[in-house]
Amino acid sequence: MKGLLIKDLRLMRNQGAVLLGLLVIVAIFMGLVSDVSPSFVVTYITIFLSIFTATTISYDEYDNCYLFLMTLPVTRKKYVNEKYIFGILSTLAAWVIGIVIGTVMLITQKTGMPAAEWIISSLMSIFIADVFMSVIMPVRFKFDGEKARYANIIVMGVILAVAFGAPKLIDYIPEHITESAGEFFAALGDNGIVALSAVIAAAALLISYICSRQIMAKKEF
Amino acid sequence: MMLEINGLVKKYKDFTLNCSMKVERGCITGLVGENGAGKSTCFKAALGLISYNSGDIKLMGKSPSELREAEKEKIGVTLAESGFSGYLKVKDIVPVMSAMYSGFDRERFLSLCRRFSIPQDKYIKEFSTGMKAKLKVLVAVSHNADFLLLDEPTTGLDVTARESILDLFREYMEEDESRSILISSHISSDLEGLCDDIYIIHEGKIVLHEDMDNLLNEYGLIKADDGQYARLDKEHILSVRRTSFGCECLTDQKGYYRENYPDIVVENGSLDEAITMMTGGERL
Repeated sequence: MKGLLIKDLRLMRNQGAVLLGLLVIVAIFMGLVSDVSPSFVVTYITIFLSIFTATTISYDEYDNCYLFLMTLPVTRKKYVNEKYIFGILSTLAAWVIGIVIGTVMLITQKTGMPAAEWIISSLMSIFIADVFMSVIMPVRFKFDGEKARYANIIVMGVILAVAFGAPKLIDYIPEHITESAGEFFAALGDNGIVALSAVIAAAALLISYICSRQIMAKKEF
Repeated sequence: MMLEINGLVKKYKDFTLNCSMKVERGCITGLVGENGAGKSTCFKAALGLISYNSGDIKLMGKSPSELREAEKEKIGVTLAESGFSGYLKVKDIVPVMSAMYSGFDRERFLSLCRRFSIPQDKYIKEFSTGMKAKLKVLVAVSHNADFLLLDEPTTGLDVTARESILDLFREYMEEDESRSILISSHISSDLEGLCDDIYIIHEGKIVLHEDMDNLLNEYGLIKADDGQYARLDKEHILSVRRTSFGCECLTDQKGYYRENYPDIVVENGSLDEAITMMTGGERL
């Protein structure tokens, strides 16, 4: 597994460094010319880098390398484990970079955002990135090459549809349900919502991992 | 026994592999056949990369599904259409191999890279076909494996490079006599001078298994016209093919025919002849 991690780190160093550099430049640029919030910058960098992990599966697929990797001292189970560990580590690293940039923006923009709100919004961004990764990983394990590209577009489409569609759907939900939901979240408080999000993120990751293991165990190379 | 495949059946929509073969300790076994004959499918099944419908495979005593890191450390593999990601460089591969194989010999690998002019600081995707093929072989022989499974390792190499790679396999075998190699190729001259025994595969079936020495010394090609063919003893004829002047027959007892039919031409056999006759001729 250590060997696979080194391989992905090297791939990331060769390929991901350019991506990260680009993301940081865009983030700083956006911060300078527009008034995007520091929270947006954190979310943006974290999510993009979490998607990169799934991209390392594409690099493994390039030229059919998958096949060869499986002849090395690596089991299918360890391969999946490594991808998730690498995904979590790279997402965390991106998150820390995002937070550093966001904090600098927060100080320079003097938006007066309370520290608690800043921490909560930053935490939420890593949960969102985690859910993104959880959805993308099994899809990438399942589909190769051309199919994977379509699958990725569909997944992105579904995520966007949910993100934009969900607030609109609320209008159609009977008032007593939205009211009681509102009361439920109000009762939870900020800390409760963060805790609930953490549980959802962890559950998503666990389900995603189990699915990926199953998919990989049955995969024909 | 390094590898034992008994009654392996793998069915695809338009192709069925049905094969049995074995690789003994200390031997170089060749698997030869045209493209699409089932060579790569055999390798994939033995390595647990694909499932199979029936049959029994034992690679170093374990079935493919039981292969763990410990067993995989003891094999070196090159696959026809697969290798390290093109987005890596040789200098990226070195630490990966060190972490994966306890027996990885870094110095040997790097000196082999120099010997075969493999650049360290260039993306593999920018390599020529020949360089990629050489790199795959160098990776397979650099971690003290007991058994090499080489699927088309010389494809894309020019004659000189092919010879030096084949020499590398000979060196590998000389270092430890208990090692084994299973090598596939569609270039028969590669295998003729290297293998101890050979399997010819055609349309998913093994059509011939023979010791290489036996094949080169005892096999012959009988060229007979229709009259000569009619009076020929068919006992030791393996395969017959019609030609414009009569027919050609592959025999595994050329001495017998030379002695008893002095008027009939019996040429020395070669692997190429054996392949052509066993895959193109009518088997008796």
